[in-house]
Amino acid sequence: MKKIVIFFSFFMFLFSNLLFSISEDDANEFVVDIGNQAIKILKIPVDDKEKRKKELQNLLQQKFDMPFIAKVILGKKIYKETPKEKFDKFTKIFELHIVKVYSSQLGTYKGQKFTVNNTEIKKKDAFVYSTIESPDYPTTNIVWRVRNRESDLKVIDMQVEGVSLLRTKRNDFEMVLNSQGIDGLIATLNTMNQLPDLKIPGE
Amino acid sequence: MKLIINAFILISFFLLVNCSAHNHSVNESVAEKNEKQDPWEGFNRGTFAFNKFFDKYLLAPLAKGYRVILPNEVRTGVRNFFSNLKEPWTSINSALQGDLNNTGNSIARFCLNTTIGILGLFDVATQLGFEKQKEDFGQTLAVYGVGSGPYLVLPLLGPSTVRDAVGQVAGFVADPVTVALNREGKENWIWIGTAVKGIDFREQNLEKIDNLEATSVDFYATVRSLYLERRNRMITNQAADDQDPFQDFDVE
Repeated sequence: MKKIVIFFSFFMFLFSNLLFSISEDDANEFVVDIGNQAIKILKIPVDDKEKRKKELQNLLQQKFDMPFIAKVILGKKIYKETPKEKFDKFTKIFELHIVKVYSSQLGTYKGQKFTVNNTEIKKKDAFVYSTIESPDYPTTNIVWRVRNRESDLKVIDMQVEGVSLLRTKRNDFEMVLNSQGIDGLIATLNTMNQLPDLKIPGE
Repeated sequence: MKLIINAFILISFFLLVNCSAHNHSVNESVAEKNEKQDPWEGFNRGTFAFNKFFDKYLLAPLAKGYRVILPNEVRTGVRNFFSNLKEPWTSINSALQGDLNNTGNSIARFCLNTTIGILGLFDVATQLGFEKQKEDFGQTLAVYGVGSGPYLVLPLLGPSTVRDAVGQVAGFVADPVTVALNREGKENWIWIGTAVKGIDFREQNLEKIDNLEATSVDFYATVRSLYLERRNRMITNQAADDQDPFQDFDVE
């Protein structure tokens, strides 16, 4: 009996590792696809802000694990104390917030070229190193942290010039979370999401 | 003037003695980590509010005017000119850091841009493959193992740390260009140059900074996070990896 259990556990361990493992080539291909989609968004005329936001939201939903990112941003303690319904509400509002953040920072297309340079596998994540080269601006380095989530590759964090999306937002939300809790944060983000569209760089 | 600089140096080095490399424990929360990095948060938030006021009523309007009056090509020329004047200081710091590649690179950049690039107005060096890699005294101190010390918001100059503030003072005192201007009795040019660089930086980032503020729940915390992470990357050439935010959720 004991041997069967050991064999079964070993088999399950191998199987789960295979199921959720990630290869450098797959991660590369996945990020190249994100880069191409992002360049397409840059090419949408700045006047059509709704379309830019819609495409960005599609990109986030398809390629990013937003519920997982939202969970990590809240931290284990707050996440555990939050009912599922409220967490789902937060994830939805947080996603809209991120769309607002990035649609306001994404400039216009000026010949930018997206290149994936190399990939490193660290534990269960792939770190894909990429650059955006532009004739007008200095080269921007972006590192994508990709994980195999339920047999689908998803971005769980990105670092632009060493600045992590996840860490920045964790710090940004910390004070409101501590003083007003998740309800206060949801209310604040909701208000911010209602504000009119911002003028984007290059507009 | 010299008295002020000397007093600032003295205070800075006194503070620097207390700097030590941060060693965050694995389980510390975001709040605990921020408290360690920013023990003077109350004071810093006050200075930050003052800087925002200064930006709203003086710097941002000047930057908008600068954009309207001067075409993009002229603004790029001005930016290149001031950037070129920083190359000798970069080469000294690269040498102090033992980075001989960048020492040679910045010397070559300075020679090429000052001559072929007409006093640095055109960045021909980058086009010839000599990429810009700025190094300052704050980075040099970091290479010698000096910790960043507490986060510090400087009046008018913005986010810094005690170590980087000392680096800025050293830049004012020992940068060959400022030394030459001081020796010639033209120290006013140092302040004019600093002001123009500030206006140019704000012009370059008008929408980015305004939008960052509009999309931040706590703008102070966002700027602090951006500064500390970006600065860490400049020093180590890799992202801050002292505490993985995913560690709490890695066993699922």
